[in-house]
Amino acid sequence: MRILAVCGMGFGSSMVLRMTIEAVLKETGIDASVATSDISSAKSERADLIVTSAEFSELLLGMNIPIVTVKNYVDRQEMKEKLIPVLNNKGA
Amino acid sequence: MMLHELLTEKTIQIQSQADNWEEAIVAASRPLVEQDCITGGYVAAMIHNVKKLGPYIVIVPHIAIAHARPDQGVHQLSMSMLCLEHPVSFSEKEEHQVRLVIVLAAVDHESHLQALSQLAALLSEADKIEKIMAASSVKEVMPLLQSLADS
Repeated sequence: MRILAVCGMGFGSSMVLRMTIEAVLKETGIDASVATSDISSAKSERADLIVTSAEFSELLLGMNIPIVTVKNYVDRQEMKEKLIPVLNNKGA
Repeated sequence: MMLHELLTEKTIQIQSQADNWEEAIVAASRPLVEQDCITGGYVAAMIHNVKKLGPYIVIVPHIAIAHARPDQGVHQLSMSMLCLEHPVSFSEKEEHQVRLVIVLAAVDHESHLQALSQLAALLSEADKIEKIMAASSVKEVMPLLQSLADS
C-alpha cells in the first residue's frame, strides 16, 4: 500500500501531511508507505491513494484512485476518520 | 535545527492587522529578508504560489505556512512567524481567515524536517495556539516553543 501526500511544492505542507499520516498508521498498526509529491508531478507517481487538501483534489480526479481531502493537516483525529475507512476498503 | 532556534525574538512579530494576505506574507517575511536569509524574489514566489494554486497553504484552520522552492531565493534555512490580532482573508471560507502566518524557507528536502515536525506538533496543540494568538508580546510566545517533542 503506497499513500501519496500531495501539496503545492512538496517541501512544506506535504511533509506535515506525511507526519500526520504516519502517526495515524503507527497508532492503528496499518502497514503502508507514505511518499510526498508536488501537485505538478503527482500524476506521474504510482500510488494506491492520495491525501491532499480540497484545493488540489479537483486537479487530481483524473488519476482514478481514491482521494482523501483534509482541512487540518495536523489533526490526527480527522485523518483517522477519513483515511482508515478508505484503507480498509482497499484491504490494508 | 530545532524550532526554537528558528522562531526567535528576531523572527516572531505581533501586529494588529494586515491590509490583505499579500501584505501579511510580505510583513511575515520582513525579518528574514532583513537578515538576508531569503531574497525579495522568494517573497514574490510565495505570493505567486498562492495566486496560482489557491489558499492551500492554510494547512490548519486560521494558520498559513507560506513557502516556495529552495531555488527561488533561499540563502539559509529559516522560519518566521507573524501573529495578527485581526485575521486576514485568504478566501471567503471561515477556515481561511488567518491569524498566524509562518514563513518557511528550506534549502533542501531534509534539513528543515526536525523543525517542521516540531511545528506540526505545536500546531496540533490547540491550547498553545490560542495562547500564541492571544499574546501581546513576543516574550509571551517564546516559552510556548520550548520543550516541543518531534511529532
